[in-house]
This record gives sequence, structure tokens and C-alpha cells, in this order.
Amino acid sequence: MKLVYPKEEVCITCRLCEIGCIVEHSKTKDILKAFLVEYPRPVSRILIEENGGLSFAQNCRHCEEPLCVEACSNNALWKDEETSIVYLDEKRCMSCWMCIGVCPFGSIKQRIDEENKIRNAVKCDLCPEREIPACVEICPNSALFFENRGVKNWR
Amino acid sequence: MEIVIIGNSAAGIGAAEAIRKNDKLSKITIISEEAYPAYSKPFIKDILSGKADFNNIIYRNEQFYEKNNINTIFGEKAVSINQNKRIIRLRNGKNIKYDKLLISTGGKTIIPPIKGLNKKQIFQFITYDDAKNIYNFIKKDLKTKKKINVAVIGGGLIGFGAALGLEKLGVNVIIIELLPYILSRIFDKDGSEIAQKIAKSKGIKIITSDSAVSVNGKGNNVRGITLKSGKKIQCDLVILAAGVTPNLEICEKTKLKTNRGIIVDKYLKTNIPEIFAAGDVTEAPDGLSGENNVVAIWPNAYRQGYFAGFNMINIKRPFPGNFVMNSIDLFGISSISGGLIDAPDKYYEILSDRNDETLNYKKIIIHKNKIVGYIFINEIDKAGIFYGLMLNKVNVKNFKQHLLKNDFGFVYTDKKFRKKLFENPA
Repeated sequence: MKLVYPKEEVCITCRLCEIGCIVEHSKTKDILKAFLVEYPRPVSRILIEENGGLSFAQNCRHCEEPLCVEACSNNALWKDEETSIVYLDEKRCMSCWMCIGVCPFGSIKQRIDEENKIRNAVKCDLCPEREIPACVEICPNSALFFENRGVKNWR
Repeated sequence: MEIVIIGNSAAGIGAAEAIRKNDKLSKITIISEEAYPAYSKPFIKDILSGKADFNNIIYRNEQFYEKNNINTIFGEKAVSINQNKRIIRLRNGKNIKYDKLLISTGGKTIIPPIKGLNKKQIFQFITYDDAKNIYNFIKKDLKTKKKINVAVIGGGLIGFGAALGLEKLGVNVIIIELLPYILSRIFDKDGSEIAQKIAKSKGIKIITSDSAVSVNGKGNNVRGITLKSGKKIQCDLVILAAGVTPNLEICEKTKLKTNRGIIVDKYLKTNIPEIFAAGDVTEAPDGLSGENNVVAIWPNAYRQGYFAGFNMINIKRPFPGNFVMNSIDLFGISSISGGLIDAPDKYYEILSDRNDETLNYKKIIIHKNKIVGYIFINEIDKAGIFYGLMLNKVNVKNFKQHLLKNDFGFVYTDKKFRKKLFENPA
């Protein structure tokens, strides 16, 4: 399946990938409204890891045998049979964070907003409504690729 | 092949799913004593608090069994195994034949040696029914009583889970813990102190290094408990939450090798070739030590069932071993711990950082440059990375100094390692 692959050598730590992700998962899908008006703002599912001059974008690998799916006792996580995308149903999520505890890539995030009573896990869904995921499309330096490089199984 | 699975929770479902991935033809029958569809046991605390109802915690619904062509016998107890004839007998007298059998009967409540347990207001806390019964009782009692006092016997995961649920019902909760620290299976002394501080700030009373010796009452109604120390505590309700132990009832009169749990090898096979076991009922090889132990944690149970399923249909897949990882809510503060929580001897390295103001705690235990345990309180977002490093026995020598950083991630590890994980170069 096609996954989002980073290229750390050309990542300039601009974090536009994170912004693209937030806009794509917002209600209005408008960058200004998503950041200035919409509340609560979504959490980015792709995350830049940074250490000095080195950075790269880290997101869900949509594993063959996902540990997060194993860990979820509420059937809020599953691997879609057709698309192979690993989905998280935020409405079924009971915020136990077991998925966060097992994801060896650290790809699942907490979304906690006390005021709006939001408390659930969030993960990459490979932007099912787009041809190319938002993060890949917005990257200004070709540091993200959406391709099929064969299946890999690091659990 | 006719495959029979006793138990309809994580392990039983894991096995059924693994089998159906590879074999659409063999007959699968799941027998369950509970009459309900498979549900999430960890969330019975939300049933107790009233936050969720059964529909919110369903693990696999009716369509799952239909779609996967699984026969179900729910609300019926499997009472004996005839290993020579390969037959399971149910409580209703019916016989079910098997070619391969999976025992995934889970755990049962440990009943501590307390006098006076034959009273009405004494509950266990491991099933949906337990949670619902306590909830209903409290709701009814609150109509006539201003305040209800609940004594929770046990300050481990089950007792703490009960306290989490009860706190939302506006009752007074007191936890009685035998050991000097609560949650001693998942936290060390520091972690437990923080957890206790948080619980106390929510009005939960905690007594440690003590135990209940008797439940006192008027007739067969609970009025209070007496502790070993001599303390007397007034209460209206008692929850027995002193732990679970493998449910080995079905193994009686068989030649199945058991210790505390059913002994299985790395293929989840018992000493009887056609009989496998998975989940909380087993004593399986540990992922770190290799020694057999009992681990009662949902993802571990599912994984045991999953690997058992492959091996039951003759696809040899060794189980990577038990790994402990717990994620528990400390009244709004997240926490995750995994592997060892204390260093067994001086040859283990400990990295730690504790900040009581921000309620942040991080502890990492390293042995021969491999992560063998960790505790995170409050900041848990990278906890899974440590689980992966532990599971895969990754050598952390080159980035040990970065492990405690708030923004620790793969960017601090070796380039080759990181690229292998994320760039999958051809």
C-alpha cells in the first residue's frame, strides 16, 4: 500500500506538514479559519521530530499487523480490509491510551481539551478524501513522498 | 477441522481472527459463560461511573460472528473436557466435539481470607454484571441515604479502577491495600506516591500495609469492616478487588499441566497436543526473562490468542513472549508503565526524573543497554516508542543520554535505524 515516507536530508523543519494535516482535518478546511476561528482546533497526526539541524516528519506506518488494533479493547481501531488504512473512530475511543502505549513509532496522539470535553486519541488516516495526503502535498521541499515501497513489519 | 474456543474475550477473539485470516472453511465455535457479546473488560469502570452503557463498550458485535462464520454458544458454561474423546461437556449436558481446543477462560476474583463474606452488599469487580450491580445498588441506596461509604479491598489495578468509577458517583471511598504502596504492580515507590497523592486530592482515602480480616454487619447487611491493625471502618458496601487468578475450573480431572495458570510453550500449546490456551488463564514464556508467568493484560491476551490461532491451524508462529504494559488514568492524569518497574540488582541502570509540582515522573530501566522497563506519569505521548524498543530488544547505547528528554524520538537515534523504520529504502 502507499504510505507517507519522509526524506530527512531535505526536511527544513518548516512544519507545514503539521499545518496541512490540521487544515485537512478541520471543519472549514480553510487555513485561516482553522487556525483563527475554529475551536477546538484539531491535532496534527504527523509530527516533526527535531534535534538541532536534523528533522523529519513522523507519521503512522499503517502496519500489517497493527499493535494499536490489538491493544484497543473497544473496537475503536481497525485495519480497513480494502484500503489497508488503519482507522481510529474517535467517537468509540474511551481515552484509555493503550494504543499510545503500544505504537512503536509513537504515531498516535492524545487530543485533550478540557473546556470542550474532548478526550480521545487521534491518528493518521492517510486523508481518504484526497488523492495525495495533505502533508505530502503541502511540503515545499519534497521531504515527503506518497508511494508504495513494499510492506515492512517492524512491530 | 472443528475448532472450539472456550471464552469470548480478547484471547478467544484473537484466535478466531487469526484462524479466519488463513482458513475460511474450518468450523469455529466460541463458548462463553456470559450471555453478552464480547465487551471491553477494562471499561467496566465506566459502567460503574455511569459514563458508559453496554453499547459503548462492545468489543465485537453480532455481525462479527456472522461475517466470520463463527458459531456461538453464549450463556452456557463449559464444565469438563474429555481429552480422550475430544469432547467438551456443557452445563446443560450437551457435548461439543473438537479437533483443536483453545482454553481462554480468563481470570477469576481472588477471595481473600476475610470472615463474614456471606452478606448482601459485597461485590466483585471483574465483569459487566459486577459493575452494573454496584451501580444499581448505589443509585438505589442514594435515594434513602445521604452518603454511602464504600470499602475497596485492594489497591491494585482492579481496586483503583473501582475507585475511578466510584469517585464519579459521589460516594466516600476508602481503599485498603496490603502492601506499603498502591498500584505496586505497575509503579515503583515514587510512582505510587504520586498516584496516591492524586487520589487523595480527589477525596479517596487510602490505608496501606493493612488488610481486612472481617466484614461486620447487622444480620446479613454490611455495616463495616475490621482491619488486621484493629482499625474499624464503617461502610455500607464492600468491593473485593484483591486481584485475579487464572480460572482453571475447566482443567479439573484433565491431565493439563497447570501451575498458577495453564502452562503453555511459545506456540501457546499445552502439554496435550490438541489443546491450546491463551489469555489471562495462561502461564506463558515472558518476553524479557523467558520464564513462564501469568500476565493479565488485554493486548497481551489478544496477542496470545492471535498466535495460538495460527499454531492451531498448523501455521507455526512462535509467540514473542509476554510483555507487560499498562496505561491507567490517575483521575485525569495519564500514566503508562511497561516491563520492569524496579531494578532487580545493581547491574541494571536507572534513569529517572521526578517533578511533584507538575506531577511529571519518568523512569527508565536499562539492562545491557536494552530497555527492560519504564514508567511515565503525565507525559505519555512517546511511551509506545519505549514499548517498541523493549519488545525488539534494541541497543540504546548510542542515544541513552536522550531518553529522558521531553521531545525524545527517533530523531535522536541512529540514522540507519531511523531510515530502516521510516524510509524503508529498497
